[in-house]
Amino acid sequence: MSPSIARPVLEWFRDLVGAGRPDRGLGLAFVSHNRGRLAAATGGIAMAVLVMFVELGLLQAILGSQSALAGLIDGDLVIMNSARTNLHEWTRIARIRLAEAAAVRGVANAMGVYESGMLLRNPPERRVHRIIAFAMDGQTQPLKVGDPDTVRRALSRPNAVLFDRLSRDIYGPISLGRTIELDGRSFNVAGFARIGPDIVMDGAVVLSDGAWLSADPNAQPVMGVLRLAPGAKLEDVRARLKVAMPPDVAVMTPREIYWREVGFTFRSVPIGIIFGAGVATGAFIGAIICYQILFNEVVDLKKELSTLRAMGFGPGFFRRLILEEAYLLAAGGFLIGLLAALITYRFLAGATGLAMQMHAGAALFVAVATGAMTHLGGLFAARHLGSFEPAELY
Amino acid sequence: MAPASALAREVPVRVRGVSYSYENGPKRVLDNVDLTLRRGEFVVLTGHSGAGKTTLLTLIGAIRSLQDGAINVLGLELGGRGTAAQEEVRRKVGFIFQDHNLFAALTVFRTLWLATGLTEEPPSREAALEEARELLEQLGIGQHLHSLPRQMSTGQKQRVAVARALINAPQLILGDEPTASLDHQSSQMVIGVIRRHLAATGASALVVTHDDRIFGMADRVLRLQDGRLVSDT
Repeated sequence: MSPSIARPVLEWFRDLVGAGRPDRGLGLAFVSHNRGRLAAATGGIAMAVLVMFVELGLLQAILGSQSALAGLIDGDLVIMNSARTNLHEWTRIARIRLAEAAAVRGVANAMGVYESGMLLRNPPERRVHRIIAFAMDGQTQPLKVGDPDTVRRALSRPNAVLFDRLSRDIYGPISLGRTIELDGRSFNVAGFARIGPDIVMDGAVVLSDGAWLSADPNAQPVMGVLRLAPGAKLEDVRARLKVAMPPDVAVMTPREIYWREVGFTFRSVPIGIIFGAGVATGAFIGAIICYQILFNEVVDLKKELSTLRAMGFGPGFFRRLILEEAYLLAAGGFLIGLLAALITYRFLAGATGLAMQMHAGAALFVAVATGAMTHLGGLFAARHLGSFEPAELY
Repeated sequence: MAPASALAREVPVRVRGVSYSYENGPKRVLDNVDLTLRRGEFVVLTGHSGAGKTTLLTLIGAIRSLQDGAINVLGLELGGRGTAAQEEVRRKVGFIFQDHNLFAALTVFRTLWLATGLTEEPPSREAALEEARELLEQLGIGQHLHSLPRQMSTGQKQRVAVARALINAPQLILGDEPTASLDHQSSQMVIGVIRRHLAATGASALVVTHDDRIFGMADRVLRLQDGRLVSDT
């Protein structure tokens, strides 16, 4: 940190802890004096912080898991049916489009990805469970589902399947070498993939495109993953593809697919509103708790604060004092809430299989929301000081 | 004619024709009161309960708004002044209240240092520490510099309140029964410290009290009766 930045930061911190001016830094003494109230206040704010983190975490996990497939695509461009509005809808393209795309100048490789729902039975269990099955060429691997060598070796074997290790545990114990049934056909578990469930599917398997086509020679892919030739410019190739492909084929980058999926999930299921309301509720609860705690403090210290008013301390001093307390409560509540959220995320990730992860952006958002809610609570509590008449002391 | 600032220095408090009634009150609590406090004076204001002593003190201290008459405190006219201007007057006055009203969370030093925040150029922590130590020594509670109020007796806390009023070396001290919770010896000590402050700085003090033990230490004793000043001895 340069000295020009360090000095104001240091002075701000000195002010905050009361090392500089006599009328600053009282918040810490006031907040820490009544330990019961401190525990109630930080606990209450931590609860509000936890609510916000859980709501945001679930939202991010759902958006992330719904669009996870886009992150697995190992290519520069993707061709899909233009009627396919989201990745969980299997509108297909004709297989011939792969060959047509591969013929476009600048395309080095066009690889089909097949996807469908199957029924998995894990003998000796009698029950069957629905699972999502992907199929691809094990040599070129248009989807990154695991260690490339393992995937290549596994998918080169006949009737081999990769089982998604992140699948929910409804399928029972599935170990390497185990034989499972997919739509009544026996497959040998030759390895494991890492894909992860979402709110629709519980698990996944990956087959070779050969095995897929042997079961259904007329199968059509859900997408074609294209890799560009060295030196080819993406936008040029995209333009050529648009000309070469019929209008029912969309050409997108994996990143565009990701954001389209996020947008679709956000709009189609009103999770944005649902979880946004949850976050707002958390912030509202936090503001109410902060206000209530600080209001009680103001009422309890009415005589002492009125004495300071009588001595000549102005509204700015009292507002700063209350806000100092509010920010300290916010900091304590945020840290405890963050810790509780990390523990809750682990629990929820285990229970739901969703990728619950603490992101810096979410942490920053909740930190700002916590500061804002306590600021608001503090300002409302400070307003009551205005009604204190020092003359009431007599 | 003397300039206004010189007049304010020599006569820090001038009360002219002040009357006051409380809302819904049956009669005037103060009725056409005139009073002058000269530089360096220690004046006691006494009278029976309800005579209007505290009302007059709070009007002079700009804690209440003036209704009728004129009050000039340290050169500032109080009539018709807004809240911010009243706060400006209060910052220049050292108040001693009947109850100490110390914050339970603040040590004695922190309380005194906080009071120095009312001055235009607050002293550094180190300078305030020295000043506080000296003042508390004079008041006989030097050992309590870093004590919390719960570690002190009521009388000791009241002496901290006196120190809080004196720490900024105000030109005017207003006290409302400042010795009510003190024994005779402590009362003598506190009044002695206030008197020494007046002698050293030329400040003035107006103290409302029923405590006739301190009448003899005052330069003048004013008596209020039914809102009127009836004697000045």
